[in-house]
Amino acid sequence: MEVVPRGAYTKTAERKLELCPLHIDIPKETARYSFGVSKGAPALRTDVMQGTLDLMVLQALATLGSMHGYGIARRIEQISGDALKLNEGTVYASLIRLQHKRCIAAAWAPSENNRKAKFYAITSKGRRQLVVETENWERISGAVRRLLKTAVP
Amino acid sequence: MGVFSFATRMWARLVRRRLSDEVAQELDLHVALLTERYLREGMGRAEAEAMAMRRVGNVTHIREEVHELTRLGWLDDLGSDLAHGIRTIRRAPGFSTVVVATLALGIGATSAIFSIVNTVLLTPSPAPDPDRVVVLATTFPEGSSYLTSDQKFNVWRQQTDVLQDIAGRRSGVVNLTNIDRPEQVQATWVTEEYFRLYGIPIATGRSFSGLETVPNGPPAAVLSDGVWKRAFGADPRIIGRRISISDAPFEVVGVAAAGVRTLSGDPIDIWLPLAIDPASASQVHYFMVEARLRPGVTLSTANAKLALAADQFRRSFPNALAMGAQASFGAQITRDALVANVRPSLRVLLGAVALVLLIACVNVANLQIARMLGRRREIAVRSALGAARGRVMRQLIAEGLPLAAAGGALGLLLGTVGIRALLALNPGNIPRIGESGSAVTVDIRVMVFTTLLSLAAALAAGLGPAIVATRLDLNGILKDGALGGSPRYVRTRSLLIVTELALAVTLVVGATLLIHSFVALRSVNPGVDTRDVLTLRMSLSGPRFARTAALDRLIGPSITAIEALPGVASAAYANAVPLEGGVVLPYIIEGRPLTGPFHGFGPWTSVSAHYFDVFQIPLVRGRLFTDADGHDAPGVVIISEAMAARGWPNADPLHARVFLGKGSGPDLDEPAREIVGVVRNVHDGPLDRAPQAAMYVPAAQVTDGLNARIVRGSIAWIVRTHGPSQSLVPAIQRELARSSAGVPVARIQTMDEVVARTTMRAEFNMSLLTAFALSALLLASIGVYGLMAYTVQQRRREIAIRMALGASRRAMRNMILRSGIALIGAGIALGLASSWATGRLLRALLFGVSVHDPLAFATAAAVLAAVAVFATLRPAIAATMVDPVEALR
Repeated sequence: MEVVPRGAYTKTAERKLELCPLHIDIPKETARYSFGVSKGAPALRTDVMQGTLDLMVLQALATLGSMHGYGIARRIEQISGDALKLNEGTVYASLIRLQHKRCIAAAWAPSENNRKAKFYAITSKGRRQLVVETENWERISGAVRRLLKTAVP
Repeated sequence: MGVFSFATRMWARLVRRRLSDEVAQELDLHVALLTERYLREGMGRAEAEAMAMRRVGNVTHIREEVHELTRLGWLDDLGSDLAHGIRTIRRAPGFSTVVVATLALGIGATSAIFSIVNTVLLTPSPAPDPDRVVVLATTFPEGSSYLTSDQKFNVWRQQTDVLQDIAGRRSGVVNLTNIDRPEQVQATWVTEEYFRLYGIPIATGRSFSGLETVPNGPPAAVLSDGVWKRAFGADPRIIGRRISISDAPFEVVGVAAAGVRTLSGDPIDIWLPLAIDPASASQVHYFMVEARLRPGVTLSTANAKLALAADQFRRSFPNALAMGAQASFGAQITRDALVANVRPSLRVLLGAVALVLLIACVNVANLQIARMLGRRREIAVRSALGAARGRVMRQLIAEGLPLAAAGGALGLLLGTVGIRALLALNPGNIPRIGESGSAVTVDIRVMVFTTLLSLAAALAAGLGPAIVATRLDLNGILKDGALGGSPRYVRTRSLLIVTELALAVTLVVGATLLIHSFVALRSVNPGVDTRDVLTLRMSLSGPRFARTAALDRLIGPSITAIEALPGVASAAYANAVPLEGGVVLPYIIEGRPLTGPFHGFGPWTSVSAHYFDVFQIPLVRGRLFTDADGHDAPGVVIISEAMAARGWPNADPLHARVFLGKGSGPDLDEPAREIVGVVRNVHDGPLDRAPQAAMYVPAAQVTDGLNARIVRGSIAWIVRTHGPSQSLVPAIQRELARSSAGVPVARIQTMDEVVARTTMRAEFNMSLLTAFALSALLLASIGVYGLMAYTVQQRRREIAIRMALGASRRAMRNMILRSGIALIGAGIALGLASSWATGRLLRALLFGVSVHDPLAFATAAAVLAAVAVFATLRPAIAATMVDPVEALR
């Protein structure tokens, strides 16, 4: 499923995207993430799309400052109000991706009750990217919303 | 893909394991924290753990993520393609052997030639910043003359606003005497600035001071490391020691560090001071001057300044020699000047060898295509199953890589052996290759060159076939494996064959032209009878033979003693050997008005009476010298026909009187001599130059000044023997040692060797280009044969049908021959055209033959046609063997 044709991006957005793209446009083969089956999970939980997860992780780190993976997962859970069905392992995949794109930086440090944990923090590049991607996301979701409104009477 | 840079992936790949470990650790913590939370919420331990695990979910995708990030994309594919390639090679050993051998031949030859080019043209010179070291020259419209006079040097020396470290140098040989085993060594006379110019490191002591490089300065010497060890047993107290050089005392002031060589790569044994009188009026051109461009000064600035100096020089010294109205001064980068006359030949050889390599690649490409045909089905299946065209192409090219690697490795090996073989051919004084080519080695640059060459070959040989093979008619092939798409293959292959033939023709034309040149060069009559003539060089430098009378006292008894030996026909002394260069002097005809500083100039030779007998130089008019033409007898001279024709075009030169060397300086001034004889011309210089006006004078009548200059070089004893001369060498050496009281003889050559040496370069070029042309011919004929054989194979059915319908076997043979001949004709025509266009590149190497010599073109065309037609003959005959019954099957 291609949510928005690539041509819909403005030139500048595209250039910035190259800087540190977050896969907001979802390639066909990765459009759905594979989730472990969660027995007894509420029926209305929505699958989280990969690019969206990256955006959420980035946003979480922007708010929390330095945080480890567990904390990020809790934050997303807390904010989404349990609406999103999140396979928490995917947070780590997202963290690896973001780290590679240099949108976040990581360091080992002692956590609460003195356990060694890897703490992540958003970089300035990550912040810039967050702005760009948030705009993108809003434009896309707006477009999708409008589309759905017109398509389904 | 493509989002992350290659480098990031590379890095990630290296840390993949660590990354996985870290993620595992993080996940452990995550599960632990979640478990604690569920425990706090009141779950049982087992339930809490299970819940936490479920919540984290399937973690394989994390590993996938890590893997995806660290994947190297095409490099991973390349690895598997290569592995596949190696497997395919093992499956087709015959094919692989041919491909590897062909590539090795091409790459080996190319890397051998490149090694020489690398050493001669590309390797930096020993001097610091060698690209700013220039040689100063008197320039004429016809070329530059590097030898200069004291007077010019003194003017050049003042050009310090554009030049620095202006140094004079002259090479020669001296004898180390008064030691256990007297030996002849290579000496270089240099001015003070020389050591600075070349940055020659002095291990102990010092180099010359300004005090030593003025006339009558204290005699000093700087030894090379080699001589210090060899002749003086590495004497630790050598500095200040007085040594005997050609019987004159010299004080050793320094020893140079080991491994010092000249720019041309020759070793130097000893340095002696070159003293130039700042007030000298001498016109003798006998040494070279080199300098360094001042920082910031360009070559053209320096040349402009030198041209001004030339004008000024001409006005100040209107009678200066070698300074006519057309002459000027100029500077050239020494290294360029040094290799100037080998550059064209090396360039041609490199070009030729590149053509051979190209032909080899074309041949391999052709073989590959032939092989693709056998694999059409496999490729078609791959494509039908969805392999992208690019992917299939990449695989086909990658299959070629191991072949190219093997070819490259073998080629490098061949090249290493090949260089030695090449240098064993004795290329004859190519500068900078060291003693018998020892400086030529396979260095890192050659390795890189060969590697790149192999890669290029792999691409060249793999790309074409890959393009062809992937343009498949899938339907056709999958339906019927036999016939789909074959005409197109034949068309592509025909094109390759035509190219190959054209390249081969170009090489054969070049080789033919060089063979013609060489034959023309060797058939030039040197003017002397070279058979059974031995030449022995001897250095008589030092005070002992400086005066003419002293030398004369050596010549007489020596000649008598040598001529008394059984087997010796006659013997003579000469200051130089024909073809090896010597003294050039101007002449002025007595009583004839003069417009310039002289009437002409030419080679001048001082000889003993039997010189003309030894070389069998025929007398045209007058008489030869006799023993009566001694020191006190009236001055006489014998001139060559060329000089007679130039000076006395319509008159008899006999009894005319000429001044030789007049105006060259006070030490050369002498009264006019009477011309007593005219002899035939002798080539005193390279064989490809016309003989000059030559002058011969009796050795006893040379002025002391000129004699002193002559003995500073090396003189020659020339002996004509009855039959082969080598066995007489020890006896002659013994007699010379006795008569000269122990002066060593150096460099013994037969006159045939002297002549051969002047044509060695031409012979080297010719042999190599011929070898390349033959390889090209071989490769091209293999290519033609392969294509024709394949065509016949493809057309078997058609031929069978034709024969079943009544066509004769002869008609079938001719049909195949005709198609072959059409290809060959096209190739030859194309090749001749390209030879015509590129012929001028060869001009510098040719002698006595035009670059568009019709005979050479015709020969090349004929040779190629014959070979190629021969190669199509077998396939054509095979066509007649087709059984018409095949048509029915």
